[in-house]
Amino acid sequence: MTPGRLAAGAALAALLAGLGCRENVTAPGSCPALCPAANIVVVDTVLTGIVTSDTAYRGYVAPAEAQTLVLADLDSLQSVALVRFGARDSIWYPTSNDTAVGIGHVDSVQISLTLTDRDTTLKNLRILVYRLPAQFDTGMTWADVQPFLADSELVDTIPVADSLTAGTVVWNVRPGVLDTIPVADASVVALAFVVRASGKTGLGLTATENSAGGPHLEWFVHAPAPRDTLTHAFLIGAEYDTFVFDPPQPTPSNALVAGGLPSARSILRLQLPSLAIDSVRVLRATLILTPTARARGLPKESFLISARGLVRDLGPKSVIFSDTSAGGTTSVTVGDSSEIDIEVGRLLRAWGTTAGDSLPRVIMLLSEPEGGGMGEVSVARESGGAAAPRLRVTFVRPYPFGLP
Amino acid sequence: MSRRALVLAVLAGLAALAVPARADSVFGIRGIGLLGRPLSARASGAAGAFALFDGTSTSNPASLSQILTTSGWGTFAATARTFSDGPVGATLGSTRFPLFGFATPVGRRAVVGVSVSDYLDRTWSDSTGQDTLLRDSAVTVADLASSTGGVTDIRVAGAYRLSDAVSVGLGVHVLAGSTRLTIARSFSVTSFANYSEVATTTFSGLGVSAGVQARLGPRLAAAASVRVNGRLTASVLGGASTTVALPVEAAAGALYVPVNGLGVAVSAGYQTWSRAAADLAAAGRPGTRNVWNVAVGAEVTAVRWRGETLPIRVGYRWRQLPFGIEQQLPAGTVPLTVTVPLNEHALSAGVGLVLAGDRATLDIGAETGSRAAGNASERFTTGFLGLTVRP
Repeated sequence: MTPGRLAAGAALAALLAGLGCRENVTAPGSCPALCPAANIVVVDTVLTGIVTSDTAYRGYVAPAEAQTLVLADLDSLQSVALVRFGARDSIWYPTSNDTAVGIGHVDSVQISLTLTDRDTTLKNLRILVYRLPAQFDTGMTWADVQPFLADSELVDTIPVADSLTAGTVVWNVRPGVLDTIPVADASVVALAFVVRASGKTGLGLTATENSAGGPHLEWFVHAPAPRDTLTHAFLIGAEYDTFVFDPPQPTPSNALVAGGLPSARSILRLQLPSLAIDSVRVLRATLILTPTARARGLPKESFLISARGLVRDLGPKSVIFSDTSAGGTTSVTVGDSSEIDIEVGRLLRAWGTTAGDSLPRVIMLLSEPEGGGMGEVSVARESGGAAAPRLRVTFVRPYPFGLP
Repeated sequence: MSRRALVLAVLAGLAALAVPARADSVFGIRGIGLLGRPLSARASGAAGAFALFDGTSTSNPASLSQILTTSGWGTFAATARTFSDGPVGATLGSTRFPLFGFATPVGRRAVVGVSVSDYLDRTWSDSTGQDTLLRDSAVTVADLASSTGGVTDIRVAGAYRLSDAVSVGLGVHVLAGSTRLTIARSFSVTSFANYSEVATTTFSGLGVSAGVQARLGPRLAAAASVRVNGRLTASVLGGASTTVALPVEAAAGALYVPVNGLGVAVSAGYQTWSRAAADLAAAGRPGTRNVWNVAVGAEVTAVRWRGETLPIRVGYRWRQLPFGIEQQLPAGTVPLTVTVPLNEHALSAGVGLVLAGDRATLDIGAETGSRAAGNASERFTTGFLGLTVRP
């Protein structure tokens, strides 16, 4: 190819590339003349009578499995945390190739507790620590624990700074109280924790199930002579923790319950028109629940209530959607009695897909995370008339695709 | 199979399978689309004035007789557009392939060919925004309506040379193609899910065309064609189906050679699109009208470059489009709206290059013009590139 033809070809290619690389066909609409003949029509409506049956169940997460240990001395709720710590070793190895060293004497014992929340309006918050039998019965009730909350069993009182709303409290136990562990207890210590403040209050402590960790005891010790210059710290976490409370949380027959401990769930079986189950046209769907009582729990506690879809409706043993995004969550504060709105549009859109078509049209109400606290709601059932669960749906009417 | 036969088979296959992409316009949203211009780059260089005499354009089946050897051709078109309607405006652009074809002589007098070209363009997209009240809150929404595709004209045609002066042709047209219409709305707040729905509409229809081309003297030739279309069926996938009557189309043209090396052509066409009015009205769409188109052009073949003829073409065209736009009249006027007609005109120019010892021709053209209805107008500049291969 001659240089001239090459240059002409290059110029032509550049010209066409300049024109050809543009691909923009979107113009601002000049309506109505140059817009589609039909408009997008959005409808917002409240669907009532959508629940065909409902049931409430309690007992999914027991206090011993909860992420929070609840302490309270309220009129409505009294609660004591019970913790059995792991067995403390009696020897340690100063270095990896050294001989074992026993405990000469205990310098001090520290208790570490992590507060999840507290009522900041009350001052002089303190946590009373009582000694329990090392092998206390895990079936111990509120009544069973009372005899151990005597002054004679008081280990110490842990003050909590008024400025501390959440976080770790570390306290050196009174000297001598926990230094020695009776031989019969097999190096195990068990404690009960009680809350007190300037007024009646409640408090949450992290449990071992919580990612932040549960209560800890730490023994700071010296080796016996002649190696009494050696020191060591034994850090022992909780082997078992739970809390006992009174009165037991009720499951009213005229209401659906979600949350609390032992945790409650409620199932709503729905019958929805096709307009509400659509993967494309449902813009927003809000499940509206009317409380039958104020939200219960610790004072000023905020907690989450979720509405989740099910993979299988097996009543109390139903399999819940593992994808938490296919459902909705809303925050409730203890004492609230206002309408509870939970966004469930994503779930309804998922039901509208081919894969979701076979899923049961059932919503499970539960707290999030389940067993995270005492927060609990009770809402009207399907028999509740105007207060029954209802669905506010915002959707697009079918677009009249037809003649282009 | 010989190499030649293999190349022919590939060209025929490509022509049959090719889906032409069309010249887009904002006005494609009106009626059932923007009328296609199934012209080769060669014919486009002279504004289509020579189209009735051009074997690689699909206006006249008799013009296939101009093809003396097995040929395959295709046209590339890149368009830049500027749309304005009062305060609303946009700069747009697109690249399309409006025509593919293949033809081969059969015996001494006959030529058969297949072409695939655009008949109606439905590629457009427009966006609007508005504030609306949803659940007692003001929400800003952005709507997008977008259509891609159109109606494709697949023509199987044959031409026969009755004599050295007269040729006739016959074509069968199969209308096919589809549009993919997307309607979408997005919200300024995340509490509402964005909405997007797509519908595919497929088209089908039939038509026949006949044409004649005659040399009336040593310097004058004339051509004419007529095309009768059946009804166009539009079916939404999984939904409704509807039909629209399509027009009868007639065109005639003359080619005059005043001096050797210069050809001047004029052509005019008429399409009875009012046949579709009743069907469009039944679908709630505004009416349509019968339309004319006129083109004049010249081709100079006296110029030579590197030993080969270098055709230089110029032309001007004007056409009416059947689907106008509604304009709102002042309140109290009866009727409240009036349909403003849409017209289009353009100037064009082009050249042709002979390549590979006359085994290929590269036609380059460009046109600039506008289409307007009332205050709404669209200026466009299109570059054409056509390649004809004679293996």
